[in-house]
Formats: sequence, C-alpha cells, structure tokens
Amino acid sequence: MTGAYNPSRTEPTIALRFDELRRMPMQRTYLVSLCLLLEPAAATSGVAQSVDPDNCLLCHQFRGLSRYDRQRDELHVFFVDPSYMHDLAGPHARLACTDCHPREEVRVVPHAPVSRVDCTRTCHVAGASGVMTTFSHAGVAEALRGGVHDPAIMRGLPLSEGPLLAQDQSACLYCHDEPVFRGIERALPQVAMFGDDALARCTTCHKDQLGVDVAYALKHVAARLQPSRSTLDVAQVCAVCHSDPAFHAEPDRHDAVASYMRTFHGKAALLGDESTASCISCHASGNRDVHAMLAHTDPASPTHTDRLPTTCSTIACHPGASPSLADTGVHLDLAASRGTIEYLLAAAFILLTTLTFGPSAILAVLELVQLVAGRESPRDEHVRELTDRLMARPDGRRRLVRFTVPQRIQHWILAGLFVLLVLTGFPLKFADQRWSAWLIRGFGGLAAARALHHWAGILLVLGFLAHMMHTMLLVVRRSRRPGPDGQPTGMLASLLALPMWMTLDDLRKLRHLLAYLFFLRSDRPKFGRFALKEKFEYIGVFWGTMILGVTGMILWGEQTASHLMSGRVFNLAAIAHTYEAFLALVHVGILHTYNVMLSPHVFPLSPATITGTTPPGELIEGHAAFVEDAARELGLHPHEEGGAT
Amino acid sequence: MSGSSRGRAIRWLGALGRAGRAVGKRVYALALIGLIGYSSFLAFRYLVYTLMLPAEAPAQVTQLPRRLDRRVLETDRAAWAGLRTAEHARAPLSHYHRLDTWIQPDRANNCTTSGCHPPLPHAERKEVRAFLNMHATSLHCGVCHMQTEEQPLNLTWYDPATGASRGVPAVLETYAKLLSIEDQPGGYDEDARRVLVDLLRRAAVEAQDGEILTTLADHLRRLSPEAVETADFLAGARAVLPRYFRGEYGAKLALRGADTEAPILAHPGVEREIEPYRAAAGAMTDAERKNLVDRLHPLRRTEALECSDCHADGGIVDFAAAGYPPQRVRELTGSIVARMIQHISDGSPFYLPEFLTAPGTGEPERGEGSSP
Repeated sequence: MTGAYNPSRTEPTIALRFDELRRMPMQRTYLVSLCLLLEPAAATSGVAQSVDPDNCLLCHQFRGLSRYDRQRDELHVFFVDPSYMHDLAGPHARLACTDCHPREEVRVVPHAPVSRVDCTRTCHVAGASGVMTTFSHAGVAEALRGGVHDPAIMRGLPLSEGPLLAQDQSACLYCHDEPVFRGIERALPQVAMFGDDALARCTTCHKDQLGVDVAYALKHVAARLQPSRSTLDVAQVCAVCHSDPAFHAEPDRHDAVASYMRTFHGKAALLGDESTASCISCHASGNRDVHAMLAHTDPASPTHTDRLPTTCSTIACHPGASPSLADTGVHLDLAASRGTIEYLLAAAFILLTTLTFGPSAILAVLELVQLVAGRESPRDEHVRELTDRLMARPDGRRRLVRFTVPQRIQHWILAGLFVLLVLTGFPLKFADQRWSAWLIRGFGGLAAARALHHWAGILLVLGFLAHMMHTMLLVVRRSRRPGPDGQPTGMLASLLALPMWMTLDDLRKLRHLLAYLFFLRSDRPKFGRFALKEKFEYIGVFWGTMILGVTGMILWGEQTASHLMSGRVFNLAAIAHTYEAFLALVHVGILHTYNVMLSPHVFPLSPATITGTTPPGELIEGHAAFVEDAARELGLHPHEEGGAT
Repeated sequence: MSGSSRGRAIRWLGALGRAGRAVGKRVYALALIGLIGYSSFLAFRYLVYTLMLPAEAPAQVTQLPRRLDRRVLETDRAAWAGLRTAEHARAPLSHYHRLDTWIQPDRANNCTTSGCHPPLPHAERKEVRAFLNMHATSLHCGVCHMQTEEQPLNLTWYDPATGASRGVPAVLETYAKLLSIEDQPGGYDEDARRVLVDLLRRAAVEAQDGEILTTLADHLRRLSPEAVETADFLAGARAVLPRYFRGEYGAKLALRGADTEAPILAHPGVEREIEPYRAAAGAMTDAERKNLVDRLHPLRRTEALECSDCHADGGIVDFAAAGYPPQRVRELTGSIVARMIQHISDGSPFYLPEFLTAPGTGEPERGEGSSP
C-alpha cells in the first residue's frame, strides 16, 4: 500500500461517550477538543485516512532523530510530529510521507540523501467522500510570479544572516511551514458548545453510507472560516524579511512590520485581538490571492494611492469611512518623518512635558533636599503652634478643611476614572510588555478594555463639564453679591477671584520659594488654601481632559470623523492623545503620588481629600498663609494661651 | 540600678530614638530623591527614544529562531518571545515540519555544557548518526560511553534542568498504572483515580506537549470510578499514552554508583583541565591531544555500547527496573527493533513498509519505535 488513502487500515477506534459528562459542570469546549484530539478520523467515519501508511513514524516520531553539522553549524532535524497526523492537525495530515518525498528515495532505510521537496509536485489526496483525486500547488507558483514575493525576488533578498533557504529548497518555506488548522472555537463557537453532538449528528449518516471523514471535515471547514493564521503570526512571518536590518537598509525600504506594530492594528494584534487588520488585510484586500501581492506602486495593488480609500472602507474594516481615512499614515515612523507636522507635534508635546513635569520634579527634589539637610524655615515653629491650637478646637479644624465634600467626591471620581483610563489605555501604548497582555486578559480582552476606556473617558468629560458648570454657577452667584463698594461684584471679577487661578503673587512666591530652596533665603513663602503646585496640577487636569477628550472622540469615532477631517488628523490625534496621556501619567504617577502619599509630611496618605483634614506637616510647609488666615479669623494670636473664645 | 542612672539611660534611649528618627527621615528623603530622579529619567528617555530612534518590531514578532543551529539546541523554547506568544509558531526557516515542542536542553550533562561536545554529538557514521542522537533526549552520554562493570547497568533518572536524581518519569509511571488497573478488575477505586489524575497531570507537564493528558486528567477527576464512561476514558488513556513514548520525559537516564542514587554526569576530577584543553587544542599534536583526551575521560569505555547490547532480551539495560512498563519493555527489546538494529549495524539497507510486514499476513507490524 503506497497511496495516501486506505480505508481498510485505520487506527484503533477510541470510543468515548460524553452524554453523562455533559451534565457535569465543566467547560464544554473541553468535550469537543478531547473528542477531536482523541478520535482520529477513523473513530467517526468509515472513510477515514490511514495514519502513516509507510510506517515512517516508527523512527521519525523521535525528536532526537537529528544530527548536528558542526562545520556549518546546522541542525538537521528529521523529526515529524506524529500528533500532526494522529490529531488531523492540518490540511497535510492525510498525506502520506511519500506524497511529498519520492517513495523510491525514502523507501530504503537508512535513507540515501533525498532530494528537496517540490511543493508543486502533484499528489494524491482523498476528497471529503474518500474519492482519490490529484492535487498540486502549481497554481500558487503561478500566482507568485510577477508579484513582490516572486521566488526569483525572494532568493535575491539581502538578509543579514545570508540566504535563508538553500538554492534547491522550495520557496514556499519563506512564508510557510507545515500548515496547522486553527481551533474551531473561534469560527464555530456553537459547534464547540455542542461537544461531540456536533459529530454524532453528522456520523448518523456520514459514517457508513455517505462516507465523510467528519472530524477532519469539521476541522478543515472551521479553519477555512477564519484567517489561516492569527494576526500576530502573520506579522511574525512578514517580519522575517521586512524587519531584517539588511533588508530595510536598502533605499526606499523601511521596517514596515515595526511601523505596523506601532499602529493600533499592530498593538491590538500583540494583545491578542483577532478582529484587527493584519498585513494581509490591506495588502491582499478585496479577496485578492495573497500569493499575488503587488508593490504599492502598482496601480492594481490594494495599497496603491488610488485604491487605498476603497481598501480601507471595505465592509470588514471601516465601512462608514470617507475616502479621506486613507490619508492616515498607517506605517508612520516618527523618527523617519522629521519635518512633518506629526513629528513637530510629538516634539512639541515632549517639550511641553519637559517644561511642565521637569520643573515640578526639580521642585520636589529640592524640597526633599531640605529634609536631607534638616532645614526648617524660622517661621515653621510659629505656624506649627497656630496649627496645633487650631486643630485643638472644633471650629479651628473646620476652618482648616481645604476641600469641601463635593470637591472631595469629585476628586475621587476623577481619581477612579483616571486609574481606570490608565489601566485600560496604557496596555495599548506599551502593548509589547508582558504586563499589558496580563492586564488586558484581566479585563476580559481588548474589546472589553476598550469599551471600559471609552466609557471612562466619556464619564471623565461629563465630569469635567459638570465641574465647569458648577464653577460657573458659583461665579454667577458671587457676581451678584455686593462688593466692598456695595455694587454687585460682576462676572469678570468673580471669575478672576476663583482660588485656582495663577496670579502675579503666585509668581512672586515661586521666586521666593526658589530662593529658599537654593539656600538664598532662610524663610519659605507662605501659600494659601491652594499651593502653587496644586494650582498647576489643576490646570493640568483642565487642559489634559480637553485634549484627551477631543482626540479620544476623534479616534473612537474614526468613521464619522473621517467625513469631517483629513486622515492625517487621526495621526495627529493619536500623537496628542498618547503624549498627553503620558504627561498626565508621569505627573500623577510620580509627583502627585509623592505629594499626597510618599512625602514624609503625609505618608502613607494625606487625608485632605478623604476626611478633609490636612496633616499638620503639610499645612506648615505648604499652607502657612491659610493657617494664619484661619487663626486671624478665629482671633488666635501667636503665644496666646488658650486663645479667644 | 539607681534612679539617676536609670534616668540617664532613659535620656540616652530617648536621644537615640530621636537621632534614629532624624536619620531615618533623611534616608527616606534620599530614597525618594532617587526614586523621583530615576523614574523621571526613564520617562524622558522613553519620550526622546520615541522621537529619535526608528521604530523596531517587538520581540514577540522578531524573536524567532530563523535557523536550526546550535543556539536552538541550547535554548529553552520559552526563551524565544516569538514562540511564546504565537498561536502556532512557525518552525525555523528552511524547516518544514512543525516543531511545536522543543528538544529539551540538558543543562546537567557536562559532556555538552563543557563545550566539548554538541548536544547531538554523533556525526561520523552517516547511516546511524541520527539514530544514535535519538538517544540523547533520554540517555546521558555516560550510559553508553562510560565504563562500568555492573551488569545490568546501575541506572537512575535525573532532571536535565538540575542534574538531581529523580523518580521514574510520570509518562512511564502513568502507563504502568493504567496497565495495572486493566489487569486488576475492580482495581480502579477512589485512591487509584486520585493517583492516576495526579500522574496524568505530571506527565502532561513533563512531556511538554500534554494537552491531551491534561484534558484526560480533567475528565477522570470528575468521573466516578463506577461511571459507565470511566472504562472508555481509561481505554482512551491507554491508547494515547504510548504516543508520548518518544524519549522525552522531562528526565534522562544516567549511570549511578552501586550504593548511591546520584547520577554520574561528568568524568570525575577533570573540571579544571577542560578549559586549558579547549584553549590549547588547536595547537596540539595528535599525540598530545590523544593523551589529554584520555586524561579528560577517565571513565570512558574503550568501545561504546552497541545497539544490540541494550535492545535485546537479556541486554545490559534492565528497562523494567528503570520503570518502563512491561509492554514498552517488549517493544524496546522486541523483534522489529532488534531486526532493524541488526540491519543498520550490518550496514544492510532494508525497505519500508515491506520490512515491517508480518510474515504471511501482508499487513505490517506496527512498531512503536526503538528509543527508550
């Protein structure tokens, strides 16, 4: 027997009944997987394929059946995974070894040197009903001709490790190895739920009378109902050449896989999202044979400038988008695009981060230097005394509350949303980090994490708008109150009287503070209810929410937005969103965390935004004027025992 | 202790406490300076890199073995980020057949870790070199190449990751357990189920590619020994387990001393001479090299074992004592394997599948393989 198909010789049947098991609380996907794993085709069909008719696996099932060529540093592995055939793991599982390796060459043991496999050779395979037919991949070889992956081109590619294949090896190996069926769960989840019922229903008819290799057919059909490789696996295949330094060192070439991996599509692929676009989605769009891939300069290529709008707006991708979406730089590499508006925007954000976070970090470090030096302002003792006396009185404690209850509630809503946005957003920014995949899995996948991110963003924007409205109501109410001259204060004056504005006095205090921190003055400036850094953080939240909100909505509603703006805006929005988010994260993650948690004055956590009580150390150092005002209002004077009643 | 000295001690302790607090506060502040400084540095470095350095594809995409070379032999599969993250990682280029699992590097085998011999060391006799290398996944070099007077050989299993002696591999133990259950009607009770499930789980881990075994264990754990499906699952396990008799058990056999379980993984007393030898080997004469090689291999057999020394009834390896189940022992010492080995040893080719055809039936005998 030499053919690939021999219904008379089958593996022993492993009959497994699952009826009782199904009533048990276990994942049903196990059932079908066990069924498909344990039952070779023979178990369910009368037309089953013989596994290894030539008994090659007698030796080749051993992974150690290998040798190492020390001179050429080459490992020759003659191992053939028997589970590939036992489990019908791929479309080649029903082939006999001699369908690819000339029988006359491998029939004799030990084998003489065998010739390379020719993938365009005609082989004999059994169709679904068991009828033998001839088959060849010669059509694929034809499709490759004239495309960018023409074997003649591939063999001439400059690669850093030299040619990847021997001259007489099939060029198919550049992109393919032994093909494997992907699991049925994704393509046919209902079948997976049914367990072996899915097979039992088929085998009622297809076992003896209408012979079909049901287990194999199910795997095959399920595999063909989905991309044959995961998005990440496709990128791995493409990266072999396209990320090779020698390959993209050539003029007019760049590391296309690297730039793809920096897009949303690439990052989603890294995080296990299978609905995102792979390289093939664009470069072989429109049911084009992937083997006939063309250069983007070819007018027939789906990535040619003229055809790109159609490629992007296919039903599977961005069906509602306008053609302008195609203006988006999918393979944008900032470092390689100097002088473009995208590069300048990114540079501007980095400058912004440097000029905002940088000085704040320096101030924090300088404050810590004072602690290391054991330095105290001469007025600290006086403020400490006032603080202690105020804290000893109920009305004093009330007066020292810096945040009202609504403000504290707003703060914690903001904090919660911020944390949620960071946890759901930054895994996408750092998608190649292990913790990102771990976090995304924790959220139930990228789709769930993105949904959470979107809704948290919406709530943040709504909260921001509510805060603005509340503030404006406050301003309006105050504007109607009479001023010192008995006239209504007016809108502008009320607006400017809000405590979070930076004033000239704040700048003077900043100069004073710097002089103190650099040991040029002995006393520190006295800040009021809100210190300079708190005002600065408030402004940061103000501009950050606006930038992140607007750009986030553009990116979320890309199809609608594409009707209103050029595709390049998406690049700009993505840059602004990601750099602003990073600025927010480092500011909150490093400086705000230091100020409210790690600072020795408040460690382990300042209760100012929980109970409203600001720790004495923080009051003395950061809000001395606020303490003195409170003391003055309550009639307390320094060194006065007991205080006023 | 008088009152004044007690007061002095209390004052001292108080002063000490205050000093400690002051020092602690300063140390804490210094640590915070370091923390803020370092995290700020990381943040700025990241920002500058994103703008200045060209994008690079992440390791998950690029870190794949492109060639089958020595590096692949010596690296755990898990060390390749690309293989770890891929759904179906492709084989290294120029190789077609899938390598879903990996040859387990033996970190305890001094013959290879010393750099003297590659992990697949046999390269000379073209007709048998791959067959001989086949044993490298389950045997330490010393089993065939180290001199011992013991008959049968004193063998022990060891963990290739640590070199420590260990018990019989779970795959073999599980199969033996399954056969014993089959031989004893009613022998599958709650205790046997617990043992079997535990063994299946261990076997799944040790075999690297144990999805089926894990699934079987999950099912058996839920099935009462009296359930009607139990017999089917046990039969399924008995049919599936021999697929894992491929010499990769998460353990290897090595020689041991007569009164110790510790494996002999290196020639004794030669560690210091290996590096000088390797450095000077190129400049040595043949005689000098031979002399030094002899010194570096004090336990070497003058003639390595032949296949038939072990793969025959009454061979010098007691497979049963090593924990192989009876059926597997029969396969390893049985007729097909013995005939194959004899042909290969004689240098006489044979033909498949005719070679395996049972006389008079026209049907092939289905052997399971020859490696332990």
